[in-house]
Amino acid sequence: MTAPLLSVVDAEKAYGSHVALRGVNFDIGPGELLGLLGPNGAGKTTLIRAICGRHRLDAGHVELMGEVIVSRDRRQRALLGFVPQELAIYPDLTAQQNLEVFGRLHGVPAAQLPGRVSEALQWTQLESRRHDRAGSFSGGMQRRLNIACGVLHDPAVLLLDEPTVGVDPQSRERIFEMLADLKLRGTAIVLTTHQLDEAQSRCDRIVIVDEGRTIAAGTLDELVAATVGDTQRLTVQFVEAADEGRQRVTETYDLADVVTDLPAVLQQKGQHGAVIEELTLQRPTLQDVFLHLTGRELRE
Amino acid sequence: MIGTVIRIGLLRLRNNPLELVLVFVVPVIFFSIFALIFGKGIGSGQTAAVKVLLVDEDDSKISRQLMEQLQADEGLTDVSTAAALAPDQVDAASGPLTRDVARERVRDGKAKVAIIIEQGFGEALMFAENPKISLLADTSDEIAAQLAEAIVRQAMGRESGTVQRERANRRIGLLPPEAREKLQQLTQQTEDSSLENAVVVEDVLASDKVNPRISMYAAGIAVLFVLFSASGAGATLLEEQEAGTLERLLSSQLSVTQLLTGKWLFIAAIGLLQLVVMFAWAQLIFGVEFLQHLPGFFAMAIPTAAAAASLAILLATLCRSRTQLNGVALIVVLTMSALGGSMVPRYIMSEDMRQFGLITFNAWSLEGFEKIFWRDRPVFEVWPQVLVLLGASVVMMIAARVFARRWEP
Repeated sequence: MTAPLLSVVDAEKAYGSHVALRGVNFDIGPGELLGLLGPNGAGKTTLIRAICGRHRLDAGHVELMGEVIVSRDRRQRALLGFVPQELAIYPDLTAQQNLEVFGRLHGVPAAQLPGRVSEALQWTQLESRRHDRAGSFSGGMQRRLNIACGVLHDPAVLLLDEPTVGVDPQSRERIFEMLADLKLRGTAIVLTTHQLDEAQSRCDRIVIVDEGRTIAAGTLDELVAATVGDTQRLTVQFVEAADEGRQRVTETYDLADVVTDLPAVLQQKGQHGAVIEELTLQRPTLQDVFLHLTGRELRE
Repeated sequence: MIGTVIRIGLLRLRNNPLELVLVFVVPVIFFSIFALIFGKGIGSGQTAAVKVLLVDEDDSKISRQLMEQLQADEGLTDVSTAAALAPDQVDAASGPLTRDVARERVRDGKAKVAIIIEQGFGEALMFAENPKISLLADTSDEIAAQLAEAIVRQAMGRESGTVQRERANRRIGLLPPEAREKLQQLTQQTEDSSLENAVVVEDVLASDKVNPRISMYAAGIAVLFVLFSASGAGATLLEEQEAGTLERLLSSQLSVTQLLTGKWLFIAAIGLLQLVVMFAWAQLIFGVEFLQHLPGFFAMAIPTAAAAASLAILLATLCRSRTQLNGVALIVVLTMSALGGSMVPRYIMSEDMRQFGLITFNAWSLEGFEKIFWRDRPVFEVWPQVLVLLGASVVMMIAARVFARRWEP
């Protein structure tokens, strides 16, 4: 792996008696998409805001390109992009006006601003609505604009807090296409999400946080291997002879080695005269990993 | 079902202390403020006495007696006569208290009314030949002029009665009782008719103005609405906080100080523009001399808008939500406007109430506008008002910056 763009080292933060972070660690390199997972109250938003310099850590630190983040360092802020969970745009400004004001606030030079705004409008597919007020947009369009406002200054690291909340499948797809574009440009993306399937299919690596701690980190394969193991679940639906005639039965098997175990199962069924109707083989999912690690559903 | 709807309303009211205050406490506070204004002053039971100047141009025995009566009257205060005027009160340039000096002092607002006993007053009163007293009044305080006129008429009536009785008694002492009574009635009638037109009130400030009082109302209403719109604009800070935009703004290159300064400049500029529109309209429709007083107008409008903007930012940084801010701003703006003279003229308040009103910047602002538009004073004379407003503005902004630390890591 190349040198990380961003490293979170032993991050700790408490609000009075409530401890939000008890030692979170992870890092992310260029062009990587990292999913930050955890149940509500796990400390994800606190962590994102600490990375932005909006929360001061009690212990530990965050490094950006090898330098510890200082809350009011303008140069570091120019390297970070932040898209909050809320639709943090001005609904009474047009799409273009929103992009212009956030571009200025992020220090985009005036000469470059019109070009960047046009690019962003193309990128978000909002070009035809550039003069419409953001408040008149659908939820998905507002989300896209929300993201564009955070990346107009071309940050090295983009922090996204639940970017697809309340978004329809088409808009979600468009948002992930936009993020894929950013990845190709080398932007490191940290995204918090509640959508396990989203994290599983889109993220290069996943960090699971619970009760303020990093409880697992790695690729999906690494997480599976380290938790529920590589066992694959076989589901067999078949018809067999019974006293009352023929009946349909579904059985499941955990296979440690598919190549040797699967033929054995099929052979056994054949010997008992079963007619196999459907057969599915499923790898463990992030959901399994999450349940294994936290003992509860993500939305709890 | 209906009972449940009522229960929801009651529960929401109970869980919202600010709404409870707005519903039950604010009306009581406002009733009390207006009761104090329209009542008889804060516990004093007194209507504000009128500051007057007395000029005796006649210098006769009768005029001196009248002067004594007026000086003793409780309705008049700070009574200054030519003799009583201390050396430091005499303007070196204008010399002792004469009609012209008195006129100037009324114009300056140092006295509300100058009472001029005209030359020949004593003799005219003696012979019931239209004695004359002139009142040079500042009618920005309508009550003061009317009160002074009533007191002068009363004193004159008493003096006239005394003089006429002495005179009649000397002449009719030997007449039989019926003839004496008849003659006294005739004398009384002559005396009453001769006093009818005895007091002439001259408005020294408004006589050459078109719709003079409108400028005062324009200032009062304008300041009230500048405060309302400023507090509304200040609420955008909390709107941004609730929408998550504030977090995004402060994650950019923007600092809290820059954010507050930008908001302050915007709100102050809008406030200034509001005042300009209000006075321009007042000139266009009601003839207020706005363009004629442009430098003075800006001398007062800029600090007024600045102070209103600072108050708005302070309230926004103090409050935790827009709902809270709306309630607090309503209470603060209405209270300040009631005490400071935006709702009712300060001249109808007792002296104590007027002094108390100076805790509001409405009062300082309206005093400044009054100097410019009513008294036609030079711009530099509003320096105390400008200083207080700008000082208040700076102090409130410093306090706001301290409270805004909650938005910093």
